[in-house]
Amino acid sequence: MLGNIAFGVGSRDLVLQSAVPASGSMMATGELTAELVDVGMTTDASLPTVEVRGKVAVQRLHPAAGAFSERRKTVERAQELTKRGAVAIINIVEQTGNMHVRDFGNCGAPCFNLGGADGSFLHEALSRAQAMGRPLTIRLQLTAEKLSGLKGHNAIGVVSGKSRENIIVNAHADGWYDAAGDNADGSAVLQALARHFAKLENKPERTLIFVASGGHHSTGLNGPANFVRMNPTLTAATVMVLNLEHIAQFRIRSDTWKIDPREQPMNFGIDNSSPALIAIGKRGVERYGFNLNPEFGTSVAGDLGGYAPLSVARVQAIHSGPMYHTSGDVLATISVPGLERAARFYAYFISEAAKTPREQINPTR
Amino acid sequence: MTKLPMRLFITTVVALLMSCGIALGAPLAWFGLPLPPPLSNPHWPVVKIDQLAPPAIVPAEESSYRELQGDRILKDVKTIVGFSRQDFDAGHRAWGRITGFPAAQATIEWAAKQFKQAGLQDVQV
Repeated sequence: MLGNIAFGVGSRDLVLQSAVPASGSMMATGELTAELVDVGMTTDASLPTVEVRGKVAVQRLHPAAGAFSERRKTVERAQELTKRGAVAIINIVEQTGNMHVRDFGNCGAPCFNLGGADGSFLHEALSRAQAMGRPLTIRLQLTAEKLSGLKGHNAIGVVSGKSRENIIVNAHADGWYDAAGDNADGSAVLQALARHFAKLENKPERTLIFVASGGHHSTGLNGPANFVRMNPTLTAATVMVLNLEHIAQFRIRSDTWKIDPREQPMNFGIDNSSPALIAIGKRGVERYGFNLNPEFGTSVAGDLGGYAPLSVARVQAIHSGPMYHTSGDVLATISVPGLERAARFYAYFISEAAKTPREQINPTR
Repeated sequence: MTKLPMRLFITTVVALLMSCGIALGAPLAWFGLPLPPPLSNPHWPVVKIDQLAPPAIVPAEESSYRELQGDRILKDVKTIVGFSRQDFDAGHRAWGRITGFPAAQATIEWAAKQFKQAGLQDVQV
């Protein structure tokens, strides 16, 4: 933000340290300076009738969960502002602290996210400058490049069962920032399950294929999709894919910014609604207290998308809390008993599913 | 204090205040708003964590499954987060275990090594 003596003696230029460019943002010259204009909240019914042409539009969002929950509204509004001539967009993500927030993309114009504290300051300064009838100006700098020829990898290991038919157990290893809850927790539970089933006494009925995937965050390098493409023989005998993603983070309240003494409640998705798998899931919840929402659904967002071509049951528990894709997704937000709950639940689920007839796992196929 | 030194003292204080930009009656910098803090510590929670979750329920027949115990799994969570922190320490401003870049590659190689140590077959990267 560019300082101006009209804003008070000593109003020097300020760098907003939480700023992060949204995906797809490019600046031909690497820099632009323009007046800021407040265009309200992303939840407002419509855009205000202010002139945005040639200006940097500032919109605010107050996510109830993670910023991802406001993705559609935020991006659609940004695209509309771009159409109206805004030269850049700033998304103020009203969350606690002053975090990097890695979300949104394809705003049309260059797009930046600001953390809560930076955003609050910018918004208040903009209101005061507006009340004075003075413009508030910002200089945006961005060096971006498109890279090609990058390589991604999956790690694969097999536990042979009594049958050649297999169950894929997947967790994505990639993530933004420290990425403790997205997805160090799932990746660590994957290792626990691999150790568990590798023991002779825990030998499963069906073969298990463990995949530490390259994930789904890097365009063109989807780990599961490439695993399916590169392993047609293995996957021809797959009956189910189980995904471990965001499974042991504390429940974080976005009103008080405190945790609850329990894990975040997760949505359990079984994309083909197999009654047999639903029954195993229900028994597992009762047995281990794994914190699943009582109604199971069919949504399987995240890493499971890449396994769609297999046309077999895809199963996961998942929840994306307020720290999702932020620099606040740190180790201390992981519940240690939650890791164990998840590991024991999934060990049980896999054991039971491994001895369930194929036609019950995939009843409509 | 005599009258002359007192006047000199007041003049000096006012001059000092003005030189600091805090002249009496003048607006403070940036409308007097508190300036924004730096980026929150990216390895430390921004939320208050002062409670514990209840312990896991362990059926009696599973008490020997030490590989499924929370503390054991936490070690691996720390290791995996450690790959991101190495990326941060290397000076990358958009850090993490980002596929296509060294920290993600290191994580995948570590995962494969763990699979081998556990006794899995056909381990590949």
